[in-house]
Amino acid sequence: MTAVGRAGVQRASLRLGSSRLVWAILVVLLGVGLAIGSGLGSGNGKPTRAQRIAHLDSIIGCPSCTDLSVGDSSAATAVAIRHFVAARVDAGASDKAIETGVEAGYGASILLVPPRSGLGSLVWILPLVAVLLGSLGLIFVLSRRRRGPRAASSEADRALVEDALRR
Amino acid sequence: MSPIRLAAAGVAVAAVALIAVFASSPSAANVQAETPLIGKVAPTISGGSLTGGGHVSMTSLRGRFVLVNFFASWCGPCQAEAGQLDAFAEANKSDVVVLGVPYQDQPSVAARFVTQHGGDYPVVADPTGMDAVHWGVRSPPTSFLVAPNGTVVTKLVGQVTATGLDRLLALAQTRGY
Repeated sequence: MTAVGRAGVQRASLRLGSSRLVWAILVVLLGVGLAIGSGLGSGNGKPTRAQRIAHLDSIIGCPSCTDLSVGDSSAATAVAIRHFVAARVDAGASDKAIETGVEAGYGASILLVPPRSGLGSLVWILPLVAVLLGSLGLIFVLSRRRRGPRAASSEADRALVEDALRR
Repeated sequence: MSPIRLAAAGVAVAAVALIAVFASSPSAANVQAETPLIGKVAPTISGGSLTGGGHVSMTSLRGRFVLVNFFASWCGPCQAEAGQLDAFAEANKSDVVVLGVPYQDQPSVAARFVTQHGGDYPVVADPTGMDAVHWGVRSPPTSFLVAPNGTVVTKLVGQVTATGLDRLLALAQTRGY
């Protein structure tokens, strides 16, 4: 291979290297974004009393309203549930116990977020499975395309390329 | 008669028939509703009765059916069912106790409301609304039939009638509650 040809190969491998670097940076950025989004980087982990109450008020539906949380409603029932939540938090009950306490009277539909266990957990799991399967499919297709048989270049092709590079 | 007049007369007759059907159909009373409490031990209600008679609790009422009635003096259907509740309580004195719980109402006003309608049953205040939350009440009137063993038999949303409650009680008794 001539010096010009080697330089071309080097440039090509440099482009490939920089493209991998870009992908690596994107993956790292995505990871950091997901970590921040999932709350890993926020605070010291333990929410305050006000944060717990606000969170619970936002996920418990107002029984006498439509599509409103008790935190967003001023209905009498919503106010009573807000008092219930605050009293149970002050009594040292866990979030799960408070959710269960409200569910005991009103049923599971009172919670505005789907349950994390049982059949309702499919709402959380299915999108993740879909993304995972999609990613795996994409990787499979791309890797097959990369591994696929390449048309062998003839002597005439190489001569043509070297001639073009020489100009 | 011209065809247009004939059609108009037909529409008028149909409208009158519809009005007659809707006007004579029974009101939506004694409507049973879903609740996760059915078959479970009834949440506790405890306190001094606003209508006299001392301290009342769900535990102290064990051994008889209890009709827990969440009501408010400002609620129309509650006013409409007050007489029916009294009739039911009076006719089934030996088997049933009606227990009134004011819902978002001033205790004194609620107690006066019950006595003014001739009610002679205990009324326990729920000043913080906690009882209503534990029982899963969305709006008044809401009633629960509790078996003598303390488990919830059914939930009724809206106005109740004495005959409807009688039928419900008889059904619960035949089912061995």
